[in-house]
Amino acid sequence: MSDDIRKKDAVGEGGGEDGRGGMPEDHDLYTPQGGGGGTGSGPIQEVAAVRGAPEAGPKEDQRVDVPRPGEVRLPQVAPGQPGAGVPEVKETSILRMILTLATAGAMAGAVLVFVFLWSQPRILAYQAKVLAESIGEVLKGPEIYETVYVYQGQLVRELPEGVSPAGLDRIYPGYDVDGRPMGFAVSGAKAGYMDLIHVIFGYDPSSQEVLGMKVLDHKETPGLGDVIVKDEGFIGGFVRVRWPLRGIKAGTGTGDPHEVDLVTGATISCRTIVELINLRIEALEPLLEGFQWVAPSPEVPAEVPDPSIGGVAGEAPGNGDWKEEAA
Amino acid sequence: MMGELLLIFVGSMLVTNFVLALFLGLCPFLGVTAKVATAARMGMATIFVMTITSLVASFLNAYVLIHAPYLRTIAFIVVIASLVQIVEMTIRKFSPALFRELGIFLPLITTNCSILGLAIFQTNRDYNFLQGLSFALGAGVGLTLAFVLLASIRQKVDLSDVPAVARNMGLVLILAGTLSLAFMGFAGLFS
Amino acid sequence: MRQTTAQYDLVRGIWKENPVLVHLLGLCPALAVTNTVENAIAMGLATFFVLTGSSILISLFKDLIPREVRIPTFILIIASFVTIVDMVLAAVVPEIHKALGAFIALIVVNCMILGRQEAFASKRPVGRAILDAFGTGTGFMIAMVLMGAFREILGMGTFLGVPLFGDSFEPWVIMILPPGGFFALGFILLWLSWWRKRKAPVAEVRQWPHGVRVSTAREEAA
Repeated sequence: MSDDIRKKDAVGEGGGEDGRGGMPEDHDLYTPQGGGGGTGSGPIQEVAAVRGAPEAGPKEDQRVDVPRPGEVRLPQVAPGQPGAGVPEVKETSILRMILTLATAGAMAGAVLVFVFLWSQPRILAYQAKVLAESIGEVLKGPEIYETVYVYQGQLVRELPEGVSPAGLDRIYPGYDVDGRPMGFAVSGAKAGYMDLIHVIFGYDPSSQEVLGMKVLDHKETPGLGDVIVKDEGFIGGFVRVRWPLRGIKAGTGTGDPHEVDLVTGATISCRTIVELINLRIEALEPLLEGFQWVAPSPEVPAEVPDPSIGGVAGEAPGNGDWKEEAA
Repeated sequence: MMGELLLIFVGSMLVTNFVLALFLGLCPFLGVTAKVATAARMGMATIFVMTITSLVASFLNAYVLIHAPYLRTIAFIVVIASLVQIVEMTIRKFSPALFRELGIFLPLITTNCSILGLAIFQTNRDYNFLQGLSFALGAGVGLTLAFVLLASIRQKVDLSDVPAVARNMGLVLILAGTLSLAFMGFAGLFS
Repeated sequence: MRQTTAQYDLVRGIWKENPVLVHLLGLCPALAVTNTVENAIAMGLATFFVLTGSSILISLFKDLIPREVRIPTFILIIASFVTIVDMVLAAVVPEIHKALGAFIALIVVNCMILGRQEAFASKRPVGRAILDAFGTGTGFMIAMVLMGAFREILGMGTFLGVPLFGDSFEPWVIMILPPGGFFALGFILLWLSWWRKRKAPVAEVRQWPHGVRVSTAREEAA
């Protein structure tokens, strides 16, 4: 059936290509098998014919009459151009066109603002919840945590006026119920087998050990690469591993505290996580040196943590001393 | 830095090929690839539009859309549609020869997932100007590569004796699948 | 313009002129998110909503939109609906939103939607536009679920997460990977093509009440 449509198109459009010398001669210029792609072969020549030859009148009428799904006619070159012989259409003024577009745009914008305002709190709440759970998993259960931003090479708790937290790298120090520091939760992303893998892991700077790892988002293959979320052994292998991590084939371990077992058949995904952790720690290590742990006091309500994930691994925020700000 | 840019370029060209791995730009992929010449020309036009779109998208993301992220889709598609229109008019005015070569494909690119997909992926991965540019170039070249490869296979296959049921789209899709399978071999190129 | 009955408008998009399987429109989402039936259904519903909503709006305002700017206006309307769907999905079912990812935004450039507005909704009254949108959207959904089922059953051995085979089933993982999308659609089209060619001669013969078998152009070409 699609063949028939295609042949009909090709036969009907023979005339339109004359007078435009140099155009590709094959009628299968664009053969959408009935419309796949936005335009059929008719409108192409129609559009070109409108520009090149003024006599495309009857064809354009035909085109209007036959509804063909997928056929799209595109905006003409100059507004108000006498539509190549379509007699019954009166030209619309430019003002009217602009007015239409502006009105449509304004209405669209208004509706979107409403939906945005409705949905944003829910989205942020969900992201904060996910983040809180992830931090809990990788740091093994902190009661309180805070968001510390990396700003101009330093760790700051509060950003100066007018600086938006979006896009800034950040880490999350965690404290247990008595206010004792438990470590940092650090997130990052790196390209794995299919697409970016987002990971959050816990890190203890005093012993340079990774405390735990959790994959937040991935597009790896189900059944192959998704062992990074399914294989408990692999995930558990990140607990108490010393930096810098080394990924090794399963079974060849020598008991070295730096080693992490990779899962056979998914080495690319696993390696990506190992490298990601190494890169992030390497980038943040100089900043973490002098960090002073100040647990937020219980009277101060815990701020909703900023859930947007920080920078892609490998971007070094730069060196500098830690600067203490009042929490 | 050059190394990183090269990585992004080759990555989007081969490893996550826009057509064969990310499924963007399938409509022209099946429609335009009957002949190698037209496939190549479509690819060139796409590279051209992708590059410009990438620059504009980076600009929009950096300065305009921070204040209203929910307008992203609308802004992108409107910009792409206008961009293509402007580019087409400009080419037609300044280089009729180039217009004869490329011009017919430019409108087809507007409602094409590959350009909007490029803008969205670039936004999701937070690329800056240069990274976005190499991403777009890689995507365009990879797309052209896929188009031309499939077109050359189809041209050969058209001369063969294909069973009636498989003629046209059935066979083309299976060929495309095999091509996609082949490109999977590039996975993990940089690990 | 061919006058079609309301019933035909509704039914046409479901099978006979199925947007994905017959016209090969909207292939990007059809191949990309159909690796599981759940994702396929979600994408089908999202597209259905966008198609219906924009059809209604465009049909309501068709007299107010000047011809020269109709495409940009259509695109604007469709893009607004897509953004709404995007935000609502992110707020209500965040896991599915994450699974569908960038392809929700790509509903905007789904050739099927713009094609229906251009060919139908901008020329017909609201009632017919709704029927057409329902039919096309249902057809799209059917195609998506078909693809999703094909890929998930062969690729993971499950349907909507429910394992269908025993432990000894070795899933054909390629079906969930990108090549699998191409293969799945290719095989479905092959089957459809075979089905049509098989049915066609019989249908021709039935048109002759006295059972005379006439060789048709279709049979001669085959």
